[in-house]
Amino acid sequence: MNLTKYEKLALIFLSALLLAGSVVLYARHSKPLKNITIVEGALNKELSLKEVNERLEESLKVGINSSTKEELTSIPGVGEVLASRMVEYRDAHGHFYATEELLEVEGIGPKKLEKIKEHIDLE
Amino acid sequence: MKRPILAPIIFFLLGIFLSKISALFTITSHLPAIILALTLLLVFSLFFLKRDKVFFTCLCLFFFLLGALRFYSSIAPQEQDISGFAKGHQEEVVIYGTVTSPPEEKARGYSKSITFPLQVKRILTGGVEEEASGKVLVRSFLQEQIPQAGDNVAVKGELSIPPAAMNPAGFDYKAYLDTLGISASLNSKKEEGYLITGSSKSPVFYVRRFLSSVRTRSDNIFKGFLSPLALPIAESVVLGKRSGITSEVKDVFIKTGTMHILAVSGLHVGIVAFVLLAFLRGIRIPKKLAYFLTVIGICLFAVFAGCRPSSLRAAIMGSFLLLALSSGRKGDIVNSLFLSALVITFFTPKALFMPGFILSYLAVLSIVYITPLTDGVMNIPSDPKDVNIVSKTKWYTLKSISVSLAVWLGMMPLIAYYFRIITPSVIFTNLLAVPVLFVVIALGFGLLVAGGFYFLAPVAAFIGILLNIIVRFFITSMEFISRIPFSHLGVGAPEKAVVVLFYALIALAVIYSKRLTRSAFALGVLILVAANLFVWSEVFTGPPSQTKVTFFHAGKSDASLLEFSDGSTLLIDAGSSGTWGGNDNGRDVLMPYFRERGIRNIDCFIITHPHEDHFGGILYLLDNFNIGTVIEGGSTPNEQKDRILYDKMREIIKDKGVKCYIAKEGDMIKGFSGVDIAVLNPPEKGYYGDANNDSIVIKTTTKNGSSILFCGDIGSDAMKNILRFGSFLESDVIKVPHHGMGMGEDKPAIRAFFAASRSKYAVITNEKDKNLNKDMLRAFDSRGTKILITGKAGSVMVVGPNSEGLVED
Repeated sequence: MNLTKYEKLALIFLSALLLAGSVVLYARHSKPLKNITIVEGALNKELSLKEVNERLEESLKVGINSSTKEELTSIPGVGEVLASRMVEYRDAHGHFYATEELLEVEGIGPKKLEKIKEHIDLE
Repeated sequence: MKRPILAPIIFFLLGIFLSKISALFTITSHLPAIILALTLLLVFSLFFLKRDKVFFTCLCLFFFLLGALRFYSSIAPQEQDISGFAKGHQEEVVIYGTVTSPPEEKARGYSKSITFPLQVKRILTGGVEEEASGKVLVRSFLQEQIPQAGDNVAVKGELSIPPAAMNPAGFDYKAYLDTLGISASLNSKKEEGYLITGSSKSPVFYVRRFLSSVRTRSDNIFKGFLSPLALPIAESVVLGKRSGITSEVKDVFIKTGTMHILAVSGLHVGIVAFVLLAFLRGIRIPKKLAYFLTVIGICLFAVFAGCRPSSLRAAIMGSFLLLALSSGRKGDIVNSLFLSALVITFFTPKALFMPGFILSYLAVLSIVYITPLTDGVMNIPSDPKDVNIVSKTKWYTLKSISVSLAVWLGMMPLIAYYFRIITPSVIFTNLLAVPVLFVVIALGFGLLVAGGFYFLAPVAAFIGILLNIIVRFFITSMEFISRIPFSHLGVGAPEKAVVVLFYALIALAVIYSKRLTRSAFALGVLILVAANLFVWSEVFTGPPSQTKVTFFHAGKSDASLLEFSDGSTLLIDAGSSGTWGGNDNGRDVLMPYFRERGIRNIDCFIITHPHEDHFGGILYLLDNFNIGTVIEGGSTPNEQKDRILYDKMREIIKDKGVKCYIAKEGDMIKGFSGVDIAVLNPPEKGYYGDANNDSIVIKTTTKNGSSILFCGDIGSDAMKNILRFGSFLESDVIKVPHHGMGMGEDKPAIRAFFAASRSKYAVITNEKDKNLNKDMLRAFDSRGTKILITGKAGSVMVVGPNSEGLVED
């Protein structure tokens, strides 16, 4: 093989370039894999399960002032008729100021109020 | 001029190509007029000017514009094309049409699915029946009757436009179907399916129906005599039926660069022509008649082998060559090559952009043009001078290596582009693969003939055993070669500009090497430049400058990848393996992306829970990438379909000696720098006993404060438990559990959980936005959380602090 001086130079240059690139890649890929470990119990919980349950129950309560008719029907024991009467009362009087005010709504007696009391708030 | 037809054809192809890549001729309506004017000029110059150069220039221009015209008329939207009916609605339609090629069967869970293209005639949508045209790809479940090419069928299903690439470096299914002339797909549910209503009266279909009944009978003969290993190979090589090949075998063929022998193409047609011609000449048929009969033979073979574009192409090219030979001309392979390319692209201009088309033409061009180069380097004389058997063998061996090397060089950039692999071993594997292919085709047809007659049954049995042995030997040796280091290298797809540059260099080298003494230098430069391009393009795709998170679109499966700035990687779930239907997400979604990004190591893989749609894809990755640590939640799969794959995975992990941990709530995963990884689920004592609720839930927080909550597939039970972490749940992005659906009964817990995450973005890994959990949506709505569905938005990438640089891809 008779290569001229410039041809030799070109081949050497390309080979050197290839070598340099390969070294970079080799260095990158031959890095050992990360040593992964697990540290147990490193994280604290803010709440107990009891507290979570309490909060969830709280969130379940239906605000009798802010809820729509449909939302009011999700209170156990309140059907469509009762819900629309509650809305009518609210529209007429502006606001429920106390849960006892519900007794004014036709169809809600003391027994019923006792039943739905735990599912509502005045929000 | 030696090949006068070459230039006009090249201009024709150029016309197609340039109109595809640029809006060169926006004035398409004027194009026919321009071409008419040119035709007149052409006639004028031919008869009156008698100036060859003017005529030739006009001719080239004429062909160039003709190419453009053909391309535009092929993409012009057809009136009432079936894709027009798919827009907007997702309701069920009934399509009536004719099956155009034999269906492909595929195992889908415990049943079998079939796929076939349908030429549409009418469509019933919304109670109205309308005329329609175009082709649709039907996917249905196998029923008692299998439709054949030419059968008229009615299919009920959901019509949709196929998705384009949904993942970075992913497969563009829409573009692929487009090259086949298919513009929409129809999915049938199990109970609906198809109904064969009759068959087409067209004579073409009579021939095809006859051939497909022969195919079915041939297939039954193969099934009777061949082993499970040899059967799919013989089916694909002789009958063009590739659906039986397992992905493991396919991988071996891809890694050794021998995949091409499984697709009926020029090589197969050439072998059939060779055998046929030798036989016909052997029984003393006159030369011209023998050529003519061989042409008929290879055309029948192409139709017999399923009428796929690749086999048709090869048959057309072979016919040109043989017809030239039979008419007494000296057959010129380049002329035949370009003539057949003209014929094919004239009728289907889109073929020019099909990988199969490009690769097979490139292979022939490489043999013709690059072999002189490699011959020169290896000092191979153009003829075996000695008659001595030893030196003759030596010459043939060297010549084969030289051809093999030439083909490899010529195809390397495009193989890398399409398959993300470089296979140096191909130079040697083909020396075995081509003779084996020859033998398999010859024996395969021999088996079909012998198997067709009862009195030849012993012969058939003998051929069957022979074939089993040869295929086993071949696959075993290919498997062995694929395990040799550097026999194949996974690479990212090179830039288009790099591919073009490489071919420009090849062209230069071919021209330069006319002075034969320089071919060694030219070849050396070529190889070095190619190697440099691959190495340096990977050097420049280094790790991201800040943590990059990708949620892949893998259908209703989960896979997310975290790439850290120091180059380390954390993979959370790996999608489905496709064993029970759908794609192998490891191979089709994750691998292309990893290659693209130059990722070879997965430092840590977290399996949130042992359901197949979350860990299946790892089976492929375990074979092809280094995995450092596997972290699990400790639950085991209940269902058999999960357990089979889970046990397989555990076995590989054990064999490879991969480190394994079990993580539980309150743990931290340490080892990555610049990121905190906290585990919030499963709980410390006692599991829920249900894999979804036992999912690992982790929160990652990078140094700059951006955080992501990965929720696995948890339901409301686990959510309630996790709520104990309180404000720690707050995160910028939440990967929604269970594809946004289901999640259990405890509605307040679901609402509270998503409200507590206070996320800016919610990523849902699902195909559609149907049936999403209402309580979740309510919680997101009240917080103003933006919902990203991978099936709609494609894969989602998050880069950098506070998700500022959130990219929807």
